[in-house]
Amino acid sequence: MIGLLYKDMIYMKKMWKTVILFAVFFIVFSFVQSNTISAMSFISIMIGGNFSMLPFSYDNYSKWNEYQYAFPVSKKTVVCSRYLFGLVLFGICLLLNVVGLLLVQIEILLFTRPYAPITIQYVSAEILPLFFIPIMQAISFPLMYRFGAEKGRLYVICAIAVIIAIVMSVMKIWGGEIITYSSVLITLASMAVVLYVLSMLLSICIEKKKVQ
Amino acid sequence: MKNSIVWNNAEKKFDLFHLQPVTMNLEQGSIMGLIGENGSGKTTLMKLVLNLISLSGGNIEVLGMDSVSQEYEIKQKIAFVPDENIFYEMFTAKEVNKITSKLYVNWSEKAFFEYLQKFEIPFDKNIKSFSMGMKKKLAIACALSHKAELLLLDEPMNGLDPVARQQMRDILQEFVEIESHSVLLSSHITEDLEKIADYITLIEKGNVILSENKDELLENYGVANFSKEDLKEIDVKDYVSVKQYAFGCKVLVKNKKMFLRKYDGAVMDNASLEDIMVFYHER
Repeated sequence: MIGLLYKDMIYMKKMWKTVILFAVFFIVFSFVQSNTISAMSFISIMIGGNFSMLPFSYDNYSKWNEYQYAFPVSKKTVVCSRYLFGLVLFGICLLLNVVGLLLVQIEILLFTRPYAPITIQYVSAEILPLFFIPIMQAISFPLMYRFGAEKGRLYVICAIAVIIAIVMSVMKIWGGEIITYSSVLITLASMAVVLYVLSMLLSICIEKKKVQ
Repeated sequence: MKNSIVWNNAEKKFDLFHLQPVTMNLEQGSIMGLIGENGSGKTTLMKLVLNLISLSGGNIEVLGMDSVSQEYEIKQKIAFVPDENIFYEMFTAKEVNKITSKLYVNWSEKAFFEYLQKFEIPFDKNIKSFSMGMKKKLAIACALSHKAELLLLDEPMNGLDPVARQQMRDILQEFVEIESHSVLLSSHITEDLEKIADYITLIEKGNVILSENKDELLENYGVANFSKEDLKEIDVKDYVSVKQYAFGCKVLVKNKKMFLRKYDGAVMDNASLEDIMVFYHER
C-alpha cells in the first residue's frame, strides 16, 4: 500500500506549482474580500477535494489502471491506498489551516487592538468547513471507481450540487439557528468518518466487481 | 524439467472474441515466443497468466501455483513488461524506484540502479523525455530488480532500433541462463524470436495453432515452389496453405523431408517464422 501511496504523493508533489497558483489566486481574492480565514478554508476544500480526484485521471491517462494489478497488489489495497491518500491531503489541509489560524492570531495580537482571545467556537467555525473534504472524497471516489475519471467527474459535480441543495434546504427549514459551532463540528466530523468508511467499502465492492 | 507456466484448457470469452481452450506449458529455463497477427489473442493469453482478466474456463499454474487463488504470491515472483509505459510520464527513474521498492518484497535498489547505469538511463530525468527504447529498458530494469523468476513481455522489441533490440535479446538470454528462470514474450518481429526463442506458439484468431520447439519447427517446416500447373499434382493434405503469385505458387509444408520424398524434385526453401505465420494466416 505504501508504494501506491508514494505514487500519489509524488504526483501531488509534481503538481505543487498548480497548487500554489490556486492558493495565490484565492489569497488575493480573500484580501480583496477582507476574509483571509474563510479563503483559507475554501482553498483547502478546493485542494483537498478536487486534487484528490486528479490521480484517477492520470491513472487512466497513463494506463496505470489497466496494468496496476500486474504488480503484487490486491484490489482492496489499491482502493485503500487511494482513501489513505485522501486522508493525507485532508491532514495537510487541516494542518495548514491551524497554522493559518495561529498566524492570524499573531497578526491580531501585534497589530489589532483590542485583542480578542481565541475561543473554541471561533476555531470550530473555521475548522468546520474542512470536513467537507473527506465528505467530498467519500462521494467522489466511488463514482470515479464506478464510472471512470471522465464520466465520474461529471457525476461528482451533479452529486455535490444535489447535496448543496439539500443542505441549503435543511438550513432554510431549520431557520438559520445554529446551536453551537462546536456541536456542528462534532456532528460533521462524525458524519465524515461514517461516510468515509462506507464509501471505502463501496469502492472496494465496485473495484472487485469490475468485469474483466 | 519443471514448468513455469501450465495452461490447462485455459480459455477466455469476450463478446466479440474467444480465446479457445489452451493446453500447453512453458518449461523452466526457456524462452517462449508468441506470434500471431494483431488481435489474435497473444496479449489475452498473457493477461490470463497475470489474472488481469478472469478465466472463462480451465486453469493456469504459474511457478507451481494457481494463477487465481495464489495471485499475490505469484506476482512477487514474476514481472510483466507491457507494450507501453505505464508509469506517470512526469516521474523520474528514481521516483519509480521509490514506488516499486515498496511493492515488491525482494526489491533490490542496488540492482535497479546498476541496471539503470548499464542501460544508460538517467536517474533524474522525467520519463516523458525518454525514447521508446529507454522506456522499455526502464520497465525491464524494474522487472529484473525484484528477483523475478518469470518474465512476461508484450511486444518488447516494438519501436526499438537494431542496437536496442540486440541489447534486449542479450538481457533476456542472460536472464534465462539461470535454470529456474523463463520468459514468455510476444513479438511481431519474428526475426528476434528466431534468434532467442526456444519455443514458438502461434495464435490465430483465438486458436493456438502450434506450440513447438523452435529449432524443430524451423528444421521441419519448408516452403516449396511450384508452377500453377504442378500444384494440381500436389495432395492438399500435404501442405498447410498455398500462396499464388503471377508466375507460380508457394506452399508451406510441415515436414519438408517427407514432402521431398513424396514429391521428388520439388524446389524447397527453409521456412522462416514469418513464413509460417503468414501461411497459417492464409489458410
